[in-house]
Amino acid sequence: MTDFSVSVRDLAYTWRGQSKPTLNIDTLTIQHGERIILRGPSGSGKSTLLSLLAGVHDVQDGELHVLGKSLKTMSQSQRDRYRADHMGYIFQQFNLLPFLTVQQNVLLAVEFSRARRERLEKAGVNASQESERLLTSLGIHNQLWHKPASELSVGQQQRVAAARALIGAPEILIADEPTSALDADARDNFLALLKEECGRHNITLIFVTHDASLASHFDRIIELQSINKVALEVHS
Amino acid sequence: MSLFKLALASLLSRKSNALLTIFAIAISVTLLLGVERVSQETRSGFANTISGTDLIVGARSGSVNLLLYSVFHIGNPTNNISWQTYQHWDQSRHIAWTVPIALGDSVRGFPVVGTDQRYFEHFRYGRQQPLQFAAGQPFHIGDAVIGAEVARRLGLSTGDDLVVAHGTGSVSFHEHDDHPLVISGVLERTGTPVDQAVYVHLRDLDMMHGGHAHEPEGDAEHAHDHDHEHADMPPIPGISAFLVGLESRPRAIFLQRELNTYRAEPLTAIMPGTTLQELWRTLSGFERALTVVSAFVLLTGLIGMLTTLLASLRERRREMAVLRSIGAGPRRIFALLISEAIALTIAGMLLGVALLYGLMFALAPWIQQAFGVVVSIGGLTTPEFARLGVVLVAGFLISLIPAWRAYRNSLTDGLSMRI
Repeated sequence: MTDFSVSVRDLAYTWRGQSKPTLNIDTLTIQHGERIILRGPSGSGKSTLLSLLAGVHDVQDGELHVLGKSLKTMSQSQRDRYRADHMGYIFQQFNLLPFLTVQQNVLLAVEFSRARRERLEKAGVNASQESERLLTSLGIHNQLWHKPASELSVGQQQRVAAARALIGAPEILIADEPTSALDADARDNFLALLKEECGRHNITLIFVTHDASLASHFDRIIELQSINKVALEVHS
Repeated sequence: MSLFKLALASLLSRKSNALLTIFAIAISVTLLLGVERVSQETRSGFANTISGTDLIVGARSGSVNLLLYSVFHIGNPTNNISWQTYQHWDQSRHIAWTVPIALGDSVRGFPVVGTDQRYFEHFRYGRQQPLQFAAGQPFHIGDAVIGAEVARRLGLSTGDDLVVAHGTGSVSFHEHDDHPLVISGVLERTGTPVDQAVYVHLRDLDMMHGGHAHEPEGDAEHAHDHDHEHADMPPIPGISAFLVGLESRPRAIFLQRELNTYRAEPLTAIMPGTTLQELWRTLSGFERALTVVSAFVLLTGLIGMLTTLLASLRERRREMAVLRSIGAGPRRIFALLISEAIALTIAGMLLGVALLYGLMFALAPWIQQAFGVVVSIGGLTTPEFARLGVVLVAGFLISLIPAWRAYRNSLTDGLSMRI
């Protein structure tokens, strides 16, 4: 199990108030440092799977191991801490708290996680230096660091979100259609920077997208439709 | 960045809502404390106004009315007591001293009290403190003594001339300018209505109103020399009230009955302490009503905060999802909302207390002018802290509602950004 970054067996999830499960997966494994695309139309159980991976919802049936630990046996607050320590998360948009500055937004992730702080300490950098390094390498000019996040363009905001997700080197990065609001140039630029940063720390990248043209950047594509038995029933 | 700082930053981004909420809470806090403060201060101010006087006697009227006009110079006497009746009681057994008081005139808005030297001898205020002269001495005929506030506001001192006006308004069309007086003394400040009054001799008051005007005034020497020899000839036909000191205090209740049942003239005698109590009983209903009203105002302020926070939750679902994504648990979200509400409540309380002190500084001169009572502006008292505590607890309890809502939302929404 510890070989895998994520491993799923017989995972099923039924939303409250619904009679049938939304998600039912026999097996799914993702290796350490692997870069995968998770693809599926809406209703394929994508956001349910992401919620389970991030530890927001309880594992009802089956097994879900993340970095060798079973999320099923953890309490809600243990899972919240696990997410803070080991996972970065990037939304489609609106990732930043508009009332904080760019740098404060990045540093927020460190403040919520002791493990991230400790990793930075071990690497011998302090949090604000690291945030500055990440912002610079993601192409956010230092003139923007102390501006309110709300003043940034969408593309810049997504890069700041990436910096926040990556600071303190979590093992897994989940990005939920982070490029859908970007134009083609910004998208390629974003993806290249993300890949580079993930490569530095051997971070597993789980990237949700509908965009087939991005496939070449990734090791593997997981079609959720083909592994979610619920979706198979619906669509066959 | 601590959770509290995060809450503050988030609040600051919704400045106008936050400010309105703070203001609403502040106003209710000001009211809540102000009612308590004003009633306490007036109570002690009024209680300090007169002491050592066992009975106050006036023409038949309500006891509170008699107290108000004789001591506080508020309102007017309904009727006069004849000099003969006054003399009768002055010489009665058990009575140690009396002080006659005649009211009705004024000097530029300040009441004129017609009396005689006994006033300065027997009048006591606060803790049995006698009146002291800051300058000069008690009046003789043709003189006047003024209170500290009169001296300050009119810029008068000993030796100055004074013209008394008829009636009690601040503007009078009928001035007794044919009978100017010379200020013989200025009283030390007392913080009571004494400061606001002008004291003249009964005989002067009478002369201003035409009594004895036919008499040749003669030289002042003559008047001074014979001041006490006119005992059989009344200095004034009637007075408004007189203060009574007894040889033995417990007799007050018997003498009060005697006075109240005096057949020659209908009189009302009151014991100042008892009547003050009566006055407070009348006012305490009013005070309770005000407290209830301010409690409701507080409730309104807190409901305003509740509304604002609940409404903000809808537009803050993204914020919550972002916080969740970086590892904030539902409990953290709950605590965040509580912190916000507490921050709003505390800011409201601080602003409210500031408003209270601002109001007191602004109103104290007015209260002193209107009631002669000095409002001392001290620190917060224990009951006031208790009331602030109630506000804080109420703010906390109210904040549980949006906090719980946010907690539930963050559990069901998870990382999805429902808009």
